[in-house]
Amino acid sequence: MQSVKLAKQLAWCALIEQGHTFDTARQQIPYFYSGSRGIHGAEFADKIQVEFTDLYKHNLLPNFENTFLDWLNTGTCQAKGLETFKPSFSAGVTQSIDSFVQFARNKKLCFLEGEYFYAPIVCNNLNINYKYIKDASTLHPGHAVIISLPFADTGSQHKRTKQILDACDEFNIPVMIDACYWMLARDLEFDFNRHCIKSVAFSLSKAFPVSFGRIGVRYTRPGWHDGQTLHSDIGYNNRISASIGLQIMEHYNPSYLVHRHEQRYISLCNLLGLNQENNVLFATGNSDWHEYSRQTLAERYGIEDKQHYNNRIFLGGLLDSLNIDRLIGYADKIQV
Amino acid sequence: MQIKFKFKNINSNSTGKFPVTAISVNRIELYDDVVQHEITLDFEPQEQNHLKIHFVNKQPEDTEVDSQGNIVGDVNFELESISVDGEQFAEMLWEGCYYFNDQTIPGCLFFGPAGHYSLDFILPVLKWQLKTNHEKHNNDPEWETDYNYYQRACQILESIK
Repeated sequence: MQSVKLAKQLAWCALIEQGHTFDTARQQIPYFYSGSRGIHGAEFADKIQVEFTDLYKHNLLPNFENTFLDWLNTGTCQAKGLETFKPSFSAGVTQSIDSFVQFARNKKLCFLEGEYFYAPIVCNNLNINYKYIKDASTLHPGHAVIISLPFADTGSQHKRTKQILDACDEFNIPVMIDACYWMLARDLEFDFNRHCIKSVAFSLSKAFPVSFGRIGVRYTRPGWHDGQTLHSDIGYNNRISASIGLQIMEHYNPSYLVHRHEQRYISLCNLLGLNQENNVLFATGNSDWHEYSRQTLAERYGIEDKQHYNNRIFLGGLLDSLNIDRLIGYADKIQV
Repeated sequence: MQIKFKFKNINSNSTGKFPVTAISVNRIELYDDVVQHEITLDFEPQEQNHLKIHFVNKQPEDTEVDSQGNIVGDVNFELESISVDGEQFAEMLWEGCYYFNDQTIPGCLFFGPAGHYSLDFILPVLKWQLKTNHEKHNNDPEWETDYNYYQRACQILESIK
């Protein structure tokens, strides 16, 4: 528990440094290492500018959609096999999840245990069948799968990903890949050109301080038609977000956050006794860290959930601290 | 440390008599003079501190009434705030009581009759607030743990400046 106490002390330091009072810091502490939030980045304001007239620039959306993949592959990770897919603007990955759930509404949606909460909540509200799975053994025709890559509950590729996709290919099960955390990954290469993969969505929200812009791109197979492709075809999407996205792509590498924080991430994992995952914002902890697990978060959200979760620990709050390097250097003097 | 008092509604009657107060902390008298809107005093804090603010010169005849018995003039004042080195006591002022003529009025900041306001406090104020809140409502068992994290965080940030 010493590591958790040290982590709490560092969390208090980060929050007080940000100007929180005792009361407001105390409200944040239970969530500090839970969940997932976009990074801060006031310094981006110097490079990213939007104007009202961006709304009338007809080329912003196609430019954004058509150059995203080439830019994405200039980072530390390689997304292969998407060249034959059709890109569409997506309001974060979330819009693409909504589209896929609509598409799969008459199937049974399957999620690996620990998957992102959003789709199961939507299924619940729409009375769409779904279930959690531990592996591919219970997959059958008539199912549909949403799987995150890197996986939502660890920040690394799930060890069953290939097995799941093999089964989906075999049973003709449509799959959506939620690649929301792709740009956080340190080293990942993946070939998306598999028969079962129908939709792949990326987002800028986690790696750049633009989460409120809801900027993402979805790739679907040619001939795929839904509301999202319709709006993409007629250019009826958020041009302000596309403008921000294009400027991010102009000024930053997709692995910006990896380059910026990888060494700090490794130091924090060592300092706090956490397991490194293949990304720079999330680590996993032993049972001492349960209070910050997504299971605890699910209970707080009122989602009854008995599935297995890893104790995924979000380190973005500490990495955002202006004094993070000094805090890491001082940590051995902190008695807990 | 410096303790700063703010008083308001300081009233004199038609004779020009102003209220006089004697302020003591930990039984050491720090002030004995006419009430001012702001009074700042140095004191030595202890683990438990005891404050008394006396209304020393009030006489029954200071209250002036007209033929119908309406009060038309009086010598009185109100305590508005207390802070120690900039930390406001805020709502903790209401933890004090006003004592006069063998009566006790909890949470009274009005100095009407001759008497005194008495308040026990500990420093820092935040620790006192949290402790008092928990003792009253028994709803914050983690207060001391979190307070210690907070205090230590402030010290650490100071150390790595």
